[in-house]
Amino acid sequence: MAMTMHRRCAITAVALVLSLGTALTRAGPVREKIAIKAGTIITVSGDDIENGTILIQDGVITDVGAGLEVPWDANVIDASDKVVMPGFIEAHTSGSMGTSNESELEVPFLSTFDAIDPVSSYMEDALRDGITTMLVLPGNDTLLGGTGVVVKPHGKTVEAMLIRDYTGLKISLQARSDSSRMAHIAQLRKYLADLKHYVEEYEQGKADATDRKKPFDEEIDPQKQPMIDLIEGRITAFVYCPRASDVVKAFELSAEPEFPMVPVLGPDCYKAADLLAEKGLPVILDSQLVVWETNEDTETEEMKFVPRIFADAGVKFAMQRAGSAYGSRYLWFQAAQAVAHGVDREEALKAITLHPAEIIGLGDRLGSIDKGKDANLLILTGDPLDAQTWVDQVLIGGEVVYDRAEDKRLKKLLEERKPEEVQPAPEEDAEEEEEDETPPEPEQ
Amino acid sequence: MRLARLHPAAIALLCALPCASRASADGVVAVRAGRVITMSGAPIDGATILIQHGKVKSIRRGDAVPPGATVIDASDSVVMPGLVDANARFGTRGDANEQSDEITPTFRISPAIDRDSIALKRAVQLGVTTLRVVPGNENIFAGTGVVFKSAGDALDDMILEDGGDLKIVMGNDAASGNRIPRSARPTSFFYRQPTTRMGVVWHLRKAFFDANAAMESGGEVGPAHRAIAAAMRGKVPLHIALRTAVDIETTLQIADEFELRRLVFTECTEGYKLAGDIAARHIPVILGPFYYYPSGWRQAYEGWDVNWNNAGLLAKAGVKIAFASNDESGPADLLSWATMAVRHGLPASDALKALTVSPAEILGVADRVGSLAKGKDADILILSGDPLQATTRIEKVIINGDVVFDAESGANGDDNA
Repeated sequence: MAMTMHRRCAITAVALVLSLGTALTRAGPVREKIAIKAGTIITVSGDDIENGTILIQDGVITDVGAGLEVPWDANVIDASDKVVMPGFIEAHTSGSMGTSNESELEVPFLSTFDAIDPVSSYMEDALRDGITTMLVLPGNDTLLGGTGVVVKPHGKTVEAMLIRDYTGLKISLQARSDSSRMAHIAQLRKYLADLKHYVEEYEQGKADATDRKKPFDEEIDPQKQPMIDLIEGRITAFVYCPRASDVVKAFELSAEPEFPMVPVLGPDCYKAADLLAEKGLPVILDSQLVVWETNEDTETEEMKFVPRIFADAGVKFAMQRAGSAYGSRYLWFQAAQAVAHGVDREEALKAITLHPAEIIGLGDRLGSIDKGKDANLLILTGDPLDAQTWVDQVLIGGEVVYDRAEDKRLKKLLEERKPEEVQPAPEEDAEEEEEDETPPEPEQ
Repeated sequence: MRLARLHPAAIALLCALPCASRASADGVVAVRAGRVITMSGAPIDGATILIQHGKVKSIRRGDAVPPGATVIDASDSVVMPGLVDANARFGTRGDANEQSDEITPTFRISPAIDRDSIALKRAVQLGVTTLRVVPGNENIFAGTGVVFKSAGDALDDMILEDGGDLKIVMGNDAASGNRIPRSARPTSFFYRQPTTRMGVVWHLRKAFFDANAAMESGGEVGPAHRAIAAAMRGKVPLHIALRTAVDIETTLQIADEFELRRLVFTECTEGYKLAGDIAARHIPVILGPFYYYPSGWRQAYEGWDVNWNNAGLLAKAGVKIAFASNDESGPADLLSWATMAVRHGLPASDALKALTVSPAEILGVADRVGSLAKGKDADILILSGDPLQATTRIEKVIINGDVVFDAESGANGDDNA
């Protein structure tokens, strides 16, 4: 791949940052022009473009198409033998946080902002696997788990990674093992009823004070604020529904008081596909794509392929990936499996790009290659759904933040390890000196 | 009448497959294939496989079929031999770990096979047509496995080989389960030895030594010693479950000490570190299960020094490899594992072998399964495309010439689109 001098410098800089591995401040947005010449551009929002060009300025796509004129002052990335597509987006993850569930059930005031570990392997892997944006939410095991943040998996601090703060409030309808579903749902109902009452009393108090022309200095309980924001429509609930019957509950609970919702579905929820289609809400599917069911009449095992059922029902969905499963930990693999089982390729690609972007409320900025959108791009060695394709480079906001050629850990995971050469033992005093002066190897 | 022996599930399956073919005793089934990956020679494009009496009668270029033959149209599809899962731990009833003793070489897993198990039905749909089920991982000499077809009318007919191997477990697995309670630390009450890696090796060597001594004593030899001695003399292969380089090295030393001739390694997560040694001794390796290991994660509680290209590095060194599920939780998507192994460096041709002909050879059943050629069992997968792509799905599975799975009539088939 031919590179301009500037690209080489960029790669070197990235490599330098990686190899230092210490808390360097992140470089600011790239205020420059970039032109990517691509063999194939998968725009996701429209048709693919063969031999096209993507023009980027200040981290934003300024134009895309075939036969575009490359500005004289643009840094050219030659990907003419490669495929360029929008970065993958995770609309719901609890990775990188360590413990993602608080032991208390009603903690809507917590934020994942406080828990994300920027240097976790989760973030490093995400970038390597082509994920450029993720909504990090609390886990599936807390009734009112807290609020999330949208981040990119690049940066040494959460502040540097932040794309949008205070996004999504996690509600889980999964009862804990020591509780019953009845009690779990009742607790949520009671919380919402109490909250409604609290807000009404607050408003009444405010109105009374205004009537009596008295100052009103009562403050909203900050522990309730995110839930008030929810029922007043300023934040969206991401409601985890482990089973199909919970989907019904989620609609019931979000109706009174009314609040905006994104259902986060367990695998069993394919049974609610028609209901979800009727409601017209986009959903987040479980990483487990197959549900086996025993047909008791025939005693056969029936393989239900969940994304296909939602696609057939006309439900817009985003896909998740699994933590440790060998293939399904990649979003491209999930999309490829969907295609294998009859989901349209366009829908499958949207399920890992544009749909999650829309679900997290950033559809105007992310998820496709269009004029005005962020230059969050993947340069791939081939078709994204081909199992032999690798992410070669990742651009976030026009900045090259990952380069496979520099990915030492990936090399270590794949290459033969030569037997270590036996080092002659250094003299004792020399060894001590070395220990004093040499800093420990930085971890990557 | 043979139908009387059919299990209700099989009858139901037949009823559920109106388009499926079940060859009558002398009927001929013809599979018209876009491409046949025979594994016995080069792939053939545009070929027709004729099946009679459950065996492959011929594979010929073109689409000519004899009159009266039942035709399965796979002209837009890829056809390959059914997968052979050479180290499976599902499809049995109850615990597969005998808890009363550590050395149980005469124990057979075959009486525990549950032919109606959900896991076997799922295995069929994941393309596994032949599998070897083994006893669990908690005994040093765990017993012997059984090689059988994943679907069939009667268990006797399904079994290809029973008791054709002897399973040994190295490392910490064999030491587990010996404490009360099971999960307790070694400071708690011991039920029996061993509870350490040292103990496992000591008991293993003692068993070999005792078997040898018994055979040389000239006196009466008990069945356990006979079983161990037969494996030591290479009459049946020793399948050794291990993960770490430490256990591989130890096993090789023990193999030298007792002149063990036929070894097969299973799981073998760190095999790449000793690929040359394993290759030099012609020890086949049955890999699996495969998980992704983020840094700090470990497979079970050992063998965490992972190389994603373990399969590729072993194959490169000349080791015969196979992919297997090796998981009590049920069958695995072996095609996906092979696909990922290719992504990580294993040549595609080696990956296909590791799914079919290599495990059949390791199990000694390659004369019947693992490849498609005249006279071999008609165990066939029909796939929507390249078997080593995640965009490919299994369309049909044929065992002994009978269609045992058809995606179109399944719950997610194209007919309900």
